Amino acid sequence: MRPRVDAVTTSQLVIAPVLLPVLAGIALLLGRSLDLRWRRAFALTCALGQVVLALMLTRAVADGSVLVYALGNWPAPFGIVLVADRLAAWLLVTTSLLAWFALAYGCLGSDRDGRHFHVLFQLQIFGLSGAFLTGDLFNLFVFFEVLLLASYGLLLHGGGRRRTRAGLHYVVINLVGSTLFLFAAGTFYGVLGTLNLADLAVKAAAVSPQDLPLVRTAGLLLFAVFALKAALVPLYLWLPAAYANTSAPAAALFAIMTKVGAYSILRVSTLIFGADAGPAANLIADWLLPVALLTLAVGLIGAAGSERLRLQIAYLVVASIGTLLTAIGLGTVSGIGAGLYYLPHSTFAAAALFLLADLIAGQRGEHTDRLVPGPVMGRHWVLGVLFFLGAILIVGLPPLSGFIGKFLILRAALDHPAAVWVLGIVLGGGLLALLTLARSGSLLFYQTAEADGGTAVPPPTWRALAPVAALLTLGAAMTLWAGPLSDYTAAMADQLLQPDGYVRAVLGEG
Amino acid sequence: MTRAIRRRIKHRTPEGPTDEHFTEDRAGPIAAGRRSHEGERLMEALLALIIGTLTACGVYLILRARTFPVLLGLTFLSYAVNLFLFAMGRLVVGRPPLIDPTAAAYTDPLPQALVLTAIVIGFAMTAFVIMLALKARAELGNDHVDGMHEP
Repeated sequence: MRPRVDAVTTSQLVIAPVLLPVLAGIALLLGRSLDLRWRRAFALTCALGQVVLALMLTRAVADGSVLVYALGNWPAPFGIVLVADRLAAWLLVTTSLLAWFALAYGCLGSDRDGRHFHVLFQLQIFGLSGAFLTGDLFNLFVFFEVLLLASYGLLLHGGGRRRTRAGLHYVVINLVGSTLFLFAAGTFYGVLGTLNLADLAVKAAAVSPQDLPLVRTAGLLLFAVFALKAALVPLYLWLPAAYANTSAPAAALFAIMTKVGAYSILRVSTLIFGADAGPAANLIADWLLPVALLTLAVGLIGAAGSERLRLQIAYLVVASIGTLLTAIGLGTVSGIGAGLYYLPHSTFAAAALFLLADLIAGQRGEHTDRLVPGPVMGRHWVLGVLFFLGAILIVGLPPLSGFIGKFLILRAALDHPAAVWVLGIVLGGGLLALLTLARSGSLLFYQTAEADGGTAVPPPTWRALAPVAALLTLGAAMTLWAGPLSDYTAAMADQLLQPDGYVRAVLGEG
Repeated sequence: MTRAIRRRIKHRTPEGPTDEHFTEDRAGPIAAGRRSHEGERLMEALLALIIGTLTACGVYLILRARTFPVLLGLTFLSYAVNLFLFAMGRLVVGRPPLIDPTAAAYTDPLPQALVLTAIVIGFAMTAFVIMLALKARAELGNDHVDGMHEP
């Protein structure tokens, strides 16, 4: 009797991280006239529940099993399924932790700027969790739309001219991306007759030669859409302005958004166009590495040329997605494993820096976050230490996790034919990032003029500094447990490169 | 690409249910069969042409510099993709989508559900972009997509 109950609970666990945020979002919408304190407490509790659920799911899939939840109990190729494997659970943990700290920062006051901040925030978590868990291509489109719609609202949260202008670009380019996604999904359905990811993998491997060009076209179209979401060169131009101009908690949460694109690229390229996919195998393998390296280079050049701190961090997000996809582009267990170790680290570091930039901007009066000498900030030594830690994390200097992530990526690249390019660009880029952040740091913290005393701003409260410190601590904690974590991400990569288990779990044995 | 898809529409997959419908047509009176066959080909050509034209118009308008044409372009593009999704279930005339013991063949119900979803999402997005474009017009003082000539 006991194992049966366990089986039911575990399969329900797959849908729980999707249900909790959407129900929380609806509840917050209905209770919008309640006192803000109650709404904050409720939103924070739900976000914390999401962390717990994600950790439980991780525990359930840690042994390498793939959990499947069939909605309405329709069997796999006909109904929609939610699938949890190690990768999905890993990204859920990253998202939920990030969301909790971003929300904790948002609750300090910036949630007052717009009416539906908490609703949109929960719906954003809903879209993200759904995108990571779904096992259906069209359903992935729907969750993309959910997370995009929420992100449009969060991006414009608080209003302002620059925000509107950046938001318009962001919305239009993502709508075009959604249309391309539909074209790709439609072509897949027209040729292969299915939208289930596992079933697509089976059908694509057995595609007839006359249909192969169509499948390849659809696959490349899909890759273009994911590259747009992941902000790869040349489709990254929407990102810096959008991220640099939105409110701080939204920018921090958006640090995971580009990773959704990277996740989709990884999922589709290993599952449908993996090495043993027959004629459609390795469709994007030749493209991914050069594009990723170019993205890394462009992101760092952009960061070096930025005039504002937040724009600089937005470009560093572009660079981090370049690094991540470089690792994924290596296509080996060690490469993908290194990339997956790097993913949460870079997300936490970028989010912490976005929050920190908001605090710094708040202290500098009219100078805001422009990289020019300004007044001495309140609690400048705390801000300085946090900035220093964040910079070390994101540049990848020893001893923190950024260094370990980059080291793993470089070690994985050693036996790759393009090793020289990878080593050269990653190491050279690291130097450039170091110089860039050293310059920003010295401008912000050393070249300060005495304040004229007229505009005394209260120093940042400890409560505002805590989420930043916590996110940085998470990054640092990844250093302490680097051994087990990198073993785990390598196991994750191993599971990805053997998609048979996923396909069998979804479609049933045989 | 469109031509290849049209070819697929003609040469259906052997195990597809719509194939029976074809066989049945061929088995019917020759004149009627030819007429329906020509009618289907015409329909396919027309649909492909419409999707192509809508897409081209959509892409052209999206590349314009004012928010209103961009908005229209997005709308055209979503019309095109809706028709495209619909055509991916193959063009079948007068067949039931649900199980019916007397039916000789079926039309594919799934693309209709997909199109419905896409229409709903597209509609919501269009409404959102209209509001955003109006907000941008009000805040930036002009309807240029880059908000140029800021006062």
